[in-house]
Amino acid sequence: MYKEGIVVSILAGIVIVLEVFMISCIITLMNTNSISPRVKRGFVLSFICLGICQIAEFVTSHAVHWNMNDLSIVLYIGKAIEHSLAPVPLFFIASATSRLGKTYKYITIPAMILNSIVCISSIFTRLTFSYDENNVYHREPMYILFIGIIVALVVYVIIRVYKAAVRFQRPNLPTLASLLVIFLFGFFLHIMNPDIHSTWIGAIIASGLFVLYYMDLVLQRDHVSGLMNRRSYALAVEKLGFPCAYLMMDIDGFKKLNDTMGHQYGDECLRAVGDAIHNAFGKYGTCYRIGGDEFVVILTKKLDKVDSLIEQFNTEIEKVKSLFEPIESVSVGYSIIRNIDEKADKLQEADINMYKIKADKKENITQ
Amino acid sequence: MTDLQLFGIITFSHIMLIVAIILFLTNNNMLTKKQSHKLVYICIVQIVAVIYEFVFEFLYLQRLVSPQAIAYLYPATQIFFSIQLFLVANLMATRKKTIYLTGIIPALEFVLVAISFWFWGGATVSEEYEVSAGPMLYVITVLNIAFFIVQQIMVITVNKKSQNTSYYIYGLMSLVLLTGRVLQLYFTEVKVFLLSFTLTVLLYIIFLANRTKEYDEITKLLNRDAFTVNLRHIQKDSIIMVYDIDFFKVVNDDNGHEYGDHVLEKIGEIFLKVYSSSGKCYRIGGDEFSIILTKNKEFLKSMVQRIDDMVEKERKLDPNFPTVSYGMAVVENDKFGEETFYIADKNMYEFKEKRKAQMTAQTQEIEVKING
Repeated sequence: MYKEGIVVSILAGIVIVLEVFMISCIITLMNTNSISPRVKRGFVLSFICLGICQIAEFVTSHAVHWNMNDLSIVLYIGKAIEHSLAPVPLFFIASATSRLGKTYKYITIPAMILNSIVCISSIFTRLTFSYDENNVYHREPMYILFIGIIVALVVYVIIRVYKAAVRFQRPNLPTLASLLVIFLFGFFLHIMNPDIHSTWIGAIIASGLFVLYYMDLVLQRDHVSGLMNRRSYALAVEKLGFPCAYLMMDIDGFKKLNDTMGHQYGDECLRAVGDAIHNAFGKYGTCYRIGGDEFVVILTKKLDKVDSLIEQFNTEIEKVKSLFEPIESVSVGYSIIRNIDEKADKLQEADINMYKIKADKKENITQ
Repeated sequence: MTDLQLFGIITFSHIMLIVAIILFLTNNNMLTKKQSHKLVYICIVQIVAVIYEFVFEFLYLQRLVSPQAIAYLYPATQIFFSIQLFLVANLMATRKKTIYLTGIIPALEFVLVAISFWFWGGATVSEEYEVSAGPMLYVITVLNIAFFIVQQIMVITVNKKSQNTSYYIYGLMSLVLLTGRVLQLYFTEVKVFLLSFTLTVLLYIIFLANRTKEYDEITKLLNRDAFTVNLRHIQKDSIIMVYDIDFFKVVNDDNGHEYGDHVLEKIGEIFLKVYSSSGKCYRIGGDEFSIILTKNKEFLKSMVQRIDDMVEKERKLDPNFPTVSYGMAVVENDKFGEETFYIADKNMYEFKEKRKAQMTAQTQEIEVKING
């Protein structure tokens, strides 16, 4: 494209490809049903901002090669747009990840407005950046404010995303770490060397990966109970690691509750039981809801203390019982699987154990 | 900073991106094992291709080898492209036959690249190390585009059958890929094709995520999630039908879960055959199905009849195969999706009761006759 340097033209090519990629991402996100409207809006808006920033950056860094008359005006306007929009995608990503608190909004929105005012005014005041007579970009004192706001937002988004990820049970942290590395690599490279315009390239790629990561998280979650759903259970059983404990649970009297009190109430009850299960076993393994009122926990730690864990769980369930009257109890059966050969047998054994306990309870009641 | 250093940084970041994708693939919870493995292979070939491109660029920029050698090395990148295209075809194809069919073009490309080492070349390099793409590269690009067209036709036919609603992503994927391809063809020094391929893989995984979300594995129909969403955006005058398998619990208990799954699969197949051209079919519960008809409503009667006939045919072959009951209702206002669904559901239960009553009446009659 340009004869000056190979890499300049490669970067231009990368930018074009990334723009097309991003438009594709936006179209995909607008049409998907996989994520909730709030999350969708957050992602789409952040992608649009990223796209605008990338274009502005592209124009300012490549306009030198275009033989224009009023070069400095284009450079100033492009840079002002880029700098003033820079923190906005981070804000939208944060809002997509989880609902934002009021205090957070009151701090970040004014900060972003302040940033954009300072950046746009730099066209006249040269506060954040300036161009000299050779059209070379220079950073000015207020550049620290700009970078400070961005870094603060980045740190905040990282904390936010990490918290959201931990709430889901199998957070797939390696992917998260690697996409963070990609973003930070591009970001710091750009800060260290103003000639390498890598921030937006890294940011777009990282957000593409993040969309994927988020979809993966959402797809494995059961929205009623807050535990993992049946699909991820099937995959987990396929990839089971040994030794592990396999716990099977069933709510006694759930059908009665559902029939007499309605579905809504039933869902609330499932949520409460899900919380109880997560409180008792969440630290040592993964919890799933695999059917209407059936739950499974696969424990990988504390295999020798399963009985005491179940006791602890029963005390948790007592609390739930006091809230949801018609529930009688939760029957738990378990087996410990030591190697792959006994997997099928032991999975069934847990099931049988649970039904035994259930039958015993019923006998007790009738007696 | 020199061009070479910068190119090194770009290569390094590109590899980082691919590694991130591989990490995702090995740790994710939504793809099947088979899909993940195939995608990981693609990523590994991709890493090799990226490294090859860097080595080539290193030799070229440092002028370490003769122009003649550059002319040989330059089109060799194409070999990776053809391997990749074959792997992609392998990933998307559902049947062996389609794999062979779509494999023809990448194989042809492979042969052409091999030939281009001896005959009219993939590239010509002047004494000043200026590379210009040779005629062979254009031939290969035409083949690439032909490959896309074949792939698109394949994808559309496959997806029409399986009611895939998000196959527009395939179009976007080709767009990204073609952008990279065309750029690199016009400006030989702009090495972006590999990056565009990596991004395409990323888009493809997003597509798979969309697919898993709305897809029922057993019946190959859309699932309850998709149904709830579509019920919200329903059009006026469409017809909601509810189908239910009679005595499915009994069938399941008597013949085992595997047989139950087989029944569901068969019924899903029947629904797709009859209704897929005029509406969308969903599995909305264990043994409950729903169809939202938007087209060909005038053939409703014959379509329902066809379902009955096909189920009857199945029952002749396999006496355990259950019957189905159905109910339907017309959407009178586009806000009444859910209400209409309940009406259809109620109609279905009435139909079922009637049928049960008929059956018990018949059996009673026979019992009376037998017992005298």
